Amino acid sequence: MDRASSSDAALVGAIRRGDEEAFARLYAAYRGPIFRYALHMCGVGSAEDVVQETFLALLRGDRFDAGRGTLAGYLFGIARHHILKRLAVTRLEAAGDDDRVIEATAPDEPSPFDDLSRTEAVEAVRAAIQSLPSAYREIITLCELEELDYAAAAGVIECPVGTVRSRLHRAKALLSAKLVRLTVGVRRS
Amino acid sequence: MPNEQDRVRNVTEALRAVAAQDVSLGPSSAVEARLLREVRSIARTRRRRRITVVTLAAAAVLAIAVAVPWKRSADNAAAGPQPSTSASRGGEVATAFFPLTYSSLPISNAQLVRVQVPRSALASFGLAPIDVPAAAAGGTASATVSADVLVGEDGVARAVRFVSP
Repeated sequence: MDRASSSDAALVGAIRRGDEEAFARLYAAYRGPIFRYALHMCGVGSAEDVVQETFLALLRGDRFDAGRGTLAGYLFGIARHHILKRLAVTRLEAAGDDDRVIEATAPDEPSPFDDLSRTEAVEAVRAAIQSLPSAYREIITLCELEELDYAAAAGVIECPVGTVRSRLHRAKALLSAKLVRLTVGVRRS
Repeated sequence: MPNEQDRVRNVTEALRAVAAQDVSLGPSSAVEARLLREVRSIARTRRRRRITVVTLAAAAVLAIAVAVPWKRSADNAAAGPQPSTSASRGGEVATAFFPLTYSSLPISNAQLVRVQVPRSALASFGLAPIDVPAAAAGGTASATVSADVLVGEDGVARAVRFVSP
């Protein structure tokens, strides 16, 4: 166990003994990333609930084994479990791969951001992320927005690192295609 | 006309812009307040449990010292069992564990609680004061000796041993 995981384990131990200061440190470090992950995955209405359930699970003794991964990976894993439950209940979208849309991308479209202000571009990207299938939205959120490395993301979504790479590549291509369509719409309007 | 590399770069830059704009997003303070209440509740529960265990252990020792003198007999006092001793933590020497009334109950998550008991409690177990080396009392004729009480998660004491520091 390296120093970071040993300090993670010590932090979780202190929290489970009721150490408020230790909890405050951990919460300050992870509330934002977990909230944003939940926000991108299941919307603002559920994001706070996911944060609360994730940290309650930690407090109430869901097992954290520092030898098996980082505390960040562990927390994202719990959050993911709650997110998937919510997605299943609300059926926000049908399952299925959207790779066909990538093939339909027009390669000679202009850059999505050529005629947009920065604010418009950010909003366009946000809308495009929201329209991605959940598996791609998730990989974009974890790897690009929250900057988890491939190994950590693979731990969270429980798949090989190679799958993370290929899924991220497809997600970016799909996002690019969607941005083209979205920004064309903005320009026309 | 953007090529594949340009498109990937554009998407990456756009995502960085979103990440930069979202960096201050987080849950409301109500979530933190709710979680802090949970942390405090955990701390309270642990404190209560610790107090219960110590209290019960102290009660058990008191029972040993006061309510079991009938075990003392002249024979035991005169030629009682020589306690087997073993090295304990930090170079201490301890007697073997003596079972108490409820020693036959199943035990889980046992805790060892260090207490001071009246020296006269030794006799209840057929030990003459000499059986616990004088060092147990710091080399002086102290009125108390150290003892480790084995207490179960249920707060019931199962066994006791006497310790020489």
